[in-house]
Amino acid sequence: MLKAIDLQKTYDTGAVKTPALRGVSLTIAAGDFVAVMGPSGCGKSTLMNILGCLDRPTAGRYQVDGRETAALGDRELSRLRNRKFGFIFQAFNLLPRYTCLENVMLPLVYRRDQPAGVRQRAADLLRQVGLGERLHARARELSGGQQQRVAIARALINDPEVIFADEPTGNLDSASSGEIMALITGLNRQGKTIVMVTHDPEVAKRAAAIIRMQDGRIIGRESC
Amino acid sequence: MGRRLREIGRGALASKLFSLLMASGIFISILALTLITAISAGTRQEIYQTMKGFGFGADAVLLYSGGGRLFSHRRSAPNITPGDLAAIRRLPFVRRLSPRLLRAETVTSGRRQAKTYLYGVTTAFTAVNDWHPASGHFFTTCDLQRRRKVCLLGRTVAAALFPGQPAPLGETVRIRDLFFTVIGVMETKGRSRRYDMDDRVIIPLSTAAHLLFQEKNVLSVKIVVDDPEKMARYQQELRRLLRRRHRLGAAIPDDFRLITAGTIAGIVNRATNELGTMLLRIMAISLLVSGIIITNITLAGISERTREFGIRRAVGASRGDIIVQVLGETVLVSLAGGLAGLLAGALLCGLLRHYTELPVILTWQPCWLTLLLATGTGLLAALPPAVKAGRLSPREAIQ
Repeated sequence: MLKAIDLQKTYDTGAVKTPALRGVSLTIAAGDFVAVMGPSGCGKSTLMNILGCLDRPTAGRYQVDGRETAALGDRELSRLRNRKFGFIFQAFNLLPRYTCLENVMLPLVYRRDQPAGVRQRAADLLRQVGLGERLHARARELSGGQQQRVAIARALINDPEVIFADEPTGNLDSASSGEIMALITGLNRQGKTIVMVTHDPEVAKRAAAIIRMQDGRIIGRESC
Repeated sequence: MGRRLREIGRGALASKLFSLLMASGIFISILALTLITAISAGTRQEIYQTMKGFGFGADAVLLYSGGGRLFSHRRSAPNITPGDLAAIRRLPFVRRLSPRLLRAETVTSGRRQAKTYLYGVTTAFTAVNDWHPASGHFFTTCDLQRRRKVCLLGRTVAAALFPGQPAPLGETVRIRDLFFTVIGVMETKGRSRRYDMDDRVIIPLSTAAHLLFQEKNVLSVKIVVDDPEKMARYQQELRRLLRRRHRLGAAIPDDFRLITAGTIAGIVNRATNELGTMLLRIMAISLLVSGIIITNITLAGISERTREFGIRRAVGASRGDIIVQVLGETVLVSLAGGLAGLLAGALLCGLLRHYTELPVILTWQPCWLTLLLATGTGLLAALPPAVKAGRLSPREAIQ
């Protein structure tokens, strides 16, 4: 489903050019649960941003369902992020003033068609992640674990095929981490493709495959 | 669409201080603009009404004693001689002429008295000014020749001296030590803010000249010509005639003034045009300042909201969506500020009209224009920040 061929990414910060990816090729099939591991600065987040169409590679090709992303415009990429992908970030990235329900429904703002019963669906998703009692609480009033669960519900609102999770447990205590990972694993069992970046071996163990990176290159892919 | 509009509304309300700052610039601009436009429109109308009140047609030219500025407040001694009048009357294009002597006088009747203006005129007065007695009759050529002590009262004077008597015909009034018989009351002409047309007493010119003022010259003459199209040429001829008769050398300025409806209209137009360009400048500057404020505030807001835009981009907002969001918020705030300014301006106009004598006319046409300007300013001012916000890469924005 996702296919990267010789991806390269160089950050151009004025005088210094920092290479973050030095030729990464990988394929992720539908239903995969892949964990990307490696020390910080190895390029794993960069890779995930490119795979999630949050960023473009400096060189190399990246195909989603066989379509070259280089040929897609901003509008089409935005549509991909809106409909096909869901994101879970280390820092949760909710709108703090918005309620849980509003945060979950945010992706609907950028969807042209409005399927019926979206509000109900948002509420159901929040119930599924265990926040049925806090639909109208503001995001900033929630604990880290609760915020991450709202983020998961938000990632699911448009029923995407791929969930990108960038250090989803990085800011959480071990109890919350366990709950979040249970949710993510459950999603994979329901058929969602999961691409997860982490440096925690315990978290990575949940994945079906682990891709190890170092210095902008993939140094190994192993199945668990 | 509805959801997007709601997002824009929420965005505009999210930072109330920023929004208030943005709106207040527009608010003040539009408020000032509304007030100035209303006052200038009112002033213009008042000037035109005053002109109309004077009965100043396109075919009339007013010859006034004394040189200098057109509407000099300095009272000049009458210097238009009977010889001048005769010479003007002989000009082929002059159809009618109404000379006049004018002085402030106190008129009494019994215990009542009125400080008013005494006009010595000829029988030509009624036709030239299209102003006739409402009751009684005007004096005749016979009255004029025999210097009879008869008078016509303006409505204001009549009301002051003879309250409750709509037509005090046959009554006697005293001017200085002479007694005049009231033979008529003039039609009501109305008043402008400074000037009451009905505050006057009209007597025969000869009576005024010989019995009251001992003055053989007249203060002013209203001349009606045959063809208003040729007014400019006639004016030149009149000027040449008078300069010759008054023996004015080449270096000596006119000791008289010639006023036509055209010159008055010219002055009014020049004044209102000047006001208009001044207005435009004020408007441009204040809107420019508002625009700069908006641009900077929006820029500041965007650096604060980088993360928010990043989140929106990640969940599927396109570049265009972000631009529309920022523009929409600013336009909403500008429009709100503009509307508030317009309302406050209208309110102030109402108060001014009620409590002061300032001429104020609120017209709706400039209102739409001002709202359009407010929105346009907001749109233009927010464009650079909006584009900047749209350019943020979602990856950078989220980190």
